Amino acid sequence: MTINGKKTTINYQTINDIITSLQIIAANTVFTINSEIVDPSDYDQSLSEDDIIEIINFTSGG
Amino acid sequence: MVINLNYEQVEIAANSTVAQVITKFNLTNIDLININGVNCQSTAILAPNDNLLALNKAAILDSDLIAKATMARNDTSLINYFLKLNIVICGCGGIGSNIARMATQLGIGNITLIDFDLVDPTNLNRQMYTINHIGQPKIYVLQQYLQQINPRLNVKTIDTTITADNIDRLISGYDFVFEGFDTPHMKALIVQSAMRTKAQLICANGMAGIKPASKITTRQISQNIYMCGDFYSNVQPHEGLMAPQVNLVASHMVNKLLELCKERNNNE
Repeated sequence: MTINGKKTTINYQTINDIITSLQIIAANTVFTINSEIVDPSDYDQSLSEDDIIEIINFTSGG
Repeated sequence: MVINLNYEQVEIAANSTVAQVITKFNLTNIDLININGVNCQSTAILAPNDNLLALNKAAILDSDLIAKATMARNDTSLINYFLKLNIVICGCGGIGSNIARMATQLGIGNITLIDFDLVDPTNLNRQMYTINHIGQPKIYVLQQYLQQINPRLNVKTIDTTITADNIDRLISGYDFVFEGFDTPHMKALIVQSAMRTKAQLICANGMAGIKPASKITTRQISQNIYMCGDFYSNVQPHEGLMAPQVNLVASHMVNKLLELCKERNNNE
């Protein structure tokens, strides 16, 4: 799968796996799979090898 | 031939100059001349259906004329489109208050402001507030300010804290939703809400510190969601959250609105 434009050899099973492995603060983050935003209730859905995943990490300030 | 002089149709001779029109209609002390949105000299030659503004800057008293002339420098093809547009601004701080000002300057007819907060001294370095406003609710101060730019603006205020429980309802029913929160979890929350509600969202992400203006960009993150900012900077001790970067991001956000409206207006 591809994460943030880079191919990864790590076989993440779910978005939750990515959150845990990369120590992401889920509440500050939005994930897209193949340009579709993932609802947090679907973070345990299975990922496929072809998926293109983007991690959008929001920052403070406004 | 027919032209519009100060928003009224008048008949003038072909190839008349502005000076000749000023004389013909006994206009006095004219020091603002604008044809079709461009400031001109009195020697300019008029063409049929031109929109000519010929005013004395110190003597514009008619509120109807002020309201129309306020929009004279805007894209004329979007005036009617913007009058009907209905937007909501979630958070009226650095991003939200500047978006509100620019949206009003564009002539957008309907703006809803949502915020729970009062103006405090740390807001004044980047937000549309002054010392006199400290301690007052942001939404009411901003409402008054916007109506001084455009008295015909329909501006609604919602004095509330946006939460996971009310966000879907609060952002539904508008043509565009602007995000102006200052915490990352609220930014993520509104993006997820826009995903569920299909709201057309323009949000901000990354505007802290000092960096080249070119680092601020706009990108589409899904069919109905755009994001503006540098996408990485966080507010850090001593590094600041300052007017230039905040205004750049707010300008990107309203500029995206302009682009989308122009495109949609052309397609209608």
